[in-house]
Amino acid sequence: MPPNPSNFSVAVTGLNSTDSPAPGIPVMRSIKEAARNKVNGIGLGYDSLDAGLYRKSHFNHVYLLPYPSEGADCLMDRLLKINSRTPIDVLIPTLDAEIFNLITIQKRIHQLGIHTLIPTKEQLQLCSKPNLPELGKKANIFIIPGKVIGDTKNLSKKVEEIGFPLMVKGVFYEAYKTQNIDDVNKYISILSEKWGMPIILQKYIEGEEFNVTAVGNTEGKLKGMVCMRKLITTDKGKGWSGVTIKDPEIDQLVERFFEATKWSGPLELEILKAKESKQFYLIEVNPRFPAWIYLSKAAGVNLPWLTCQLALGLDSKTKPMKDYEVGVIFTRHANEDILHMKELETLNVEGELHYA
Amino acid sequence: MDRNLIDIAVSDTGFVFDPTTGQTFRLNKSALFIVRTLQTGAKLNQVAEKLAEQFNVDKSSAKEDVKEFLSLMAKMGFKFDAS
Repeated sequence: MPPNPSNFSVAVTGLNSTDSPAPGIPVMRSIKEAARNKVNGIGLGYDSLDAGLYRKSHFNHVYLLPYPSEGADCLMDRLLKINSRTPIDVLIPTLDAEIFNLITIQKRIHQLGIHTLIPTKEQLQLCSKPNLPELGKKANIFIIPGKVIGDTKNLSKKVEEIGFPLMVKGVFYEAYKTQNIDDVNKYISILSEKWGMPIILQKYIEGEEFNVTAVGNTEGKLKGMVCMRKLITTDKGKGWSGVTIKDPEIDQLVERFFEATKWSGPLELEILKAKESKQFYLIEVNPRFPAWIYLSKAAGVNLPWLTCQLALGLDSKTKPMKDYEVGVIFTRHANEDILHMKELETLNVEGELHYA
Repeated sequence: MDRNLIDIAVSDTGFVFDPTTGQTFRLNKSALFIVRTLQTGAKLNQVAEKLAEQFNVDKSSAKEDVKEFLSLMAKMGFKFDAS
């Protein structure tokens, strides 16, 4: 039985709101608006200065979590404690680094009544950057040619085979365009120190980037999607403005992706349309909603709310959400929220705050 | 995927939003006139004649302008069968 709508709790992670904002705030905003504010919003942050922790309009209760690097057992202990204080019905993780730990403890938290909709370990691995060529073959999707390197042995030869310009990509985040071997070495050093090995070297292809956010149900069937093109990007390449678009070729690519992976849960696909060949390439798969997810709600397809329903086993009561309004634009802005020192103190000392 | 120029959604101000790419651009008065005329089913020569008449230019210049406009639009992915 689904929980009573007036006593229904959704927890979301990813509450930082820097120039590369996490998706937690817009995910909860979408859910609160769908449920006409009846949902009990629980915010789960990592740093006491994560802006979302002080969004009283979105979150009724906020808690600090241990960092993902501390492991699945540590997360389990913390969720046990949080759930005993504020029962959670649905948990939506929104950061890449959290997914693996949550997959590990998924069954245990489900026994506590905490529902999730996340991919399996195998799906996650298949969609990781080093495995994209394999995914491409399986799903009949073009992947930009490149090489995955575990060290810098024979680097010149590998770089020569790809040719310049060339992208150097970290295993989790960040990518740099390079024009010579010195830059390649420099960015391998920076990225490996930050995110570890392997590093992905990829041919640079000029083109336009499109982003898709979508949700697959527990059987891996595509239940909803929205596609957008960034109109303004930050120097980190993050979308600061975007518009919903619809291209039948992108729709087909997304369908093929879901048929091949049977992906369960939310995701973001980064897609490049090559300027010369007009060919669509899958650049990256992010195993969570993007920060621009509120655009889905604005375009008439509330994917965070759909995720809640699917996680709760209400699949048969949901309709496919693939028809959205095209030409809906978002613009992002920075804002200063004011908080009292007492709130910061309580969060730092007790690891939780309760607003309602 | 190329789109047909005559299917373009253009407002009276000349503002165009391409729903498959998200691009927006604005047509000037003569470009808007060309698109509107093409959308009535007119062929290239007829468009040039009407353009010459509307903007008081000679027909050969008008035809060159129409061709240049169609070439520009083709580069942006909007094709028009001029045959």
